[in-house]
Amino acid sequence: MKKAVEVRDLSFSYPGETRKILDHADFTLEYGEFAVLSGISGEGKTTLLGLLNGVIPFLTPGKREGKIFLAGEDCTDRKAGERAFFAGTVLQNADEQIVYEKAADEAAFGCENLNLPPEEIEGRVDASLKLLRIAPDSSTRTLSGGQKQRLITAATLAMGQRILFLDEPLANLDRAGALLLLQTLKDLTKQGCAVLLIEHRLDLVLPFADSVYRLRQGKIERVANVPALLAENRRLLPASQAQTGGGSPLVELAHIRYAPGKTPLLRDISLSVREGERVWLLGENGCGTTTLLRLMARLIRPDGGAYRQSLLPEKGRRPSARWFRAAGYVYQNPSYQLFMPTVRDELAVAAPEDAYAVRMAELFGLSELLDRHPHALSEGQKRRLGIAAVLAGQPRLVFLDEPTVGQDAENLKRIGSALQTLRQETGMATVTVTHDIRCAAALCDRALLLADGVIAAQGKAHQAENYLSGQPLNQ
Amino acid sequence: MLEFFHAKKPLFPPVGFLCSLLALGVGMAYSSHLVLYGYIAALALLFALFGLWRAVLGAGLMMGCFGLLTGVLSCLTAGSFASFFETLGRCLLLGVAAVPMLSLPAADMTRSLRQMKCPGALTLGILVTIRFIPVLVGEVRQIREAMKTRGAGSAWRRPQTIYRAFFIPLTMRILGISDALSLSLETRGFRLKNKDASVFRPVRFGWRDGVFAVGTGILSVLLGVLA
Repeated sequence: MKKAVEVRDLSFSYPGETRKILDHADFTLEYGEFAVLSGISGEGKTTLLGLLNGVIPFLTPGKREGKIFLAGEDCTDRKAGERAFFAGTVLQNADEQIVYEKAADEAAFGCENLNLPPEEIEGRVDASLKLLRIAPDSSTRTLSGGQKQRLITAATLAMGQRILFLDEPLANLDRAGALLLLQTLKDLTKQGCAVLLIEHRLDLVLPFADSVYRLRQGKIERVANVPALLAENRRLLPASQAQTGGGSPLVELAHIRYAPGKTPLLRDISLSVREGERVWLLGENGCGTTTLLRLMARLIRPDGGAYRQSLLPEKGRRPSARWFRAAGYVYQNPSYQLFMPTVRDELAVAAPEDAYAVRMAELFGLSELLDRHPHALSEGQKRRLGIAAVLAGQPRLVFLDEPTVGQDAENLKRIGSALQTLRQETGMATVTVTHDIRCAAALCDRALLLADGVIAAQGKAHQAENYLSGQPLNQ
Repeated sequence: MLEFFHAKKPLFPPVGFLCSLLALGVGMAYSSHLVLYGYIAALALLFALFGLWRAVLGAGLMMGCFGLLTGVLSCLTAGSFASFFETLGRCLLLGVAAVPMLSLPAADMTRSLRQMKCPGALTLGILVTIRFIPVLVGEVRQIREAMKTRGAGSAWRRPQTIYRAFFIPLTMRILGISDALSLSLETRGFRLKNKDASVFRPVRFGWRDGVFAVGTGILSVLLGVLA
């Protein structure tokens, strides 16, 4: 019987590099198999995906040798557009891929490219959008990050290929959204499709996977001891001493209301963040956690209610530059906040002195990269630099928007360890938005669940872990 | 962002596109005549009757403000009021004439090009251009906010910092987005030589489109006669 994917003796290196990402690697994926590809950032997982779907070497150049078969056909010399007839690909960063204004049009785009009859497209689009719970007439502009990710996935599923490649599709998805997608993929494999998934959130993925692979020294190896891998991945960051309360409040919100459109997103929010406390905002995609974070950081203004802060005496409603020194904000995408010519200069922007900038580099594992250009770093390194650059200003309060997206175990450990060290040294408080269970112990004293525009429940770190495992927060 | 310019009943894309070009071309040819203002007002009325009144108001206001500023500069440099009125008129014309083009939903535009079996490169170019305008606006907004978080929002005494903090992230984001977009289009089966791509919801020429085109044409002819 034909295999879904077959790779024979595949080698690849990027232009100008001697290191081979893949070195005479072999790999097969059977129909009906749900395979997960895991490993540390920079190993070559996305490169392998690019080789399979035809992006490499036709759009991204490199030196490639070996053969690639999809659905039994030799696709080695076929470009991505031609391979799309055999295999669908879901990429990261859904926001950058959406081309149309309506969800139904976006979902139909791929089907049109495959020359499917219009009447068939209608049925496929309705089915895939219903499966991933996106209303067909929703405006793509107003979807949340997680909803956009589901839309892009639905658009690929609508194309109906029997081989699917997904590159970190669970990023930005809450637990419910992630399980919905994973169950959908599992059902597809039971119907005979083949799925290859790159993902770091193994706690969610492994229960659905039939096989797990890793890239090691240019070879694609099957992981024998999956339970050990899951245990290693589940709690990466040791718990640190919890803040038991008593610190003075830094920020207080009372009956805050915010309505970007006709329907209020935040209806009645009351909370406070105290000195040294670590607050975790939880909630489903689209419920307003990032909006609440931005509101607390004074990047947006509420439509009603009272906001008080004791970090700085400030005149006027607009936050000053001094405010953002006292209350740092770290974006999910570090590219927005990095602009200096070297890592050293980036850290020095906010650091009180050069020695502190160097110390921050050590804490975040960036010491060997001080003279590199920030935008030449890997994604994991950039994220660490983005956080370090903000924390170099010694803020008393830090807002972190999804700091763990796309982070492998090693990077996550570094980030968590650095945050814990700084908290012990400076008493810094943090407010974090993330769906990542791996961080619960290290980033949480108090978890707040946002639902229907209000704080629906509160809990401690272990309760947050339970919530992310599917139980109610205050259980 | 471009949804602001959309009407409830969009125009047939080639009609919208060609009427925009016609209005702009004819208007510019007679831009030194005061009757241009009448032409612009008549176009604005016509477009408003076809559901584009919000877009006309928005574009007209925006370009009007820009025109006032550039008109004053032009008057000062040229030393004549005629220069002011010409410059203002051209700016207003640009804003109002662009409305039919800006009102076209990207999906309709792509589908009509496919129905007409246009080259894939043209479809791709228009698709990316339409997509990029709101993306660019969104990115600029995001970067300006990020600049504030790094203390570069109002560092007027350090223009180099503001320059870096704005243009470096903007350049990287544009490069990243164009990469991601082109990868996504290809992996979703888009091929330049695919003239048989199907059309999910065909776009059809209707009597409204004919009236719109004839209306724009008549106004353009009138301008030529009266000027």
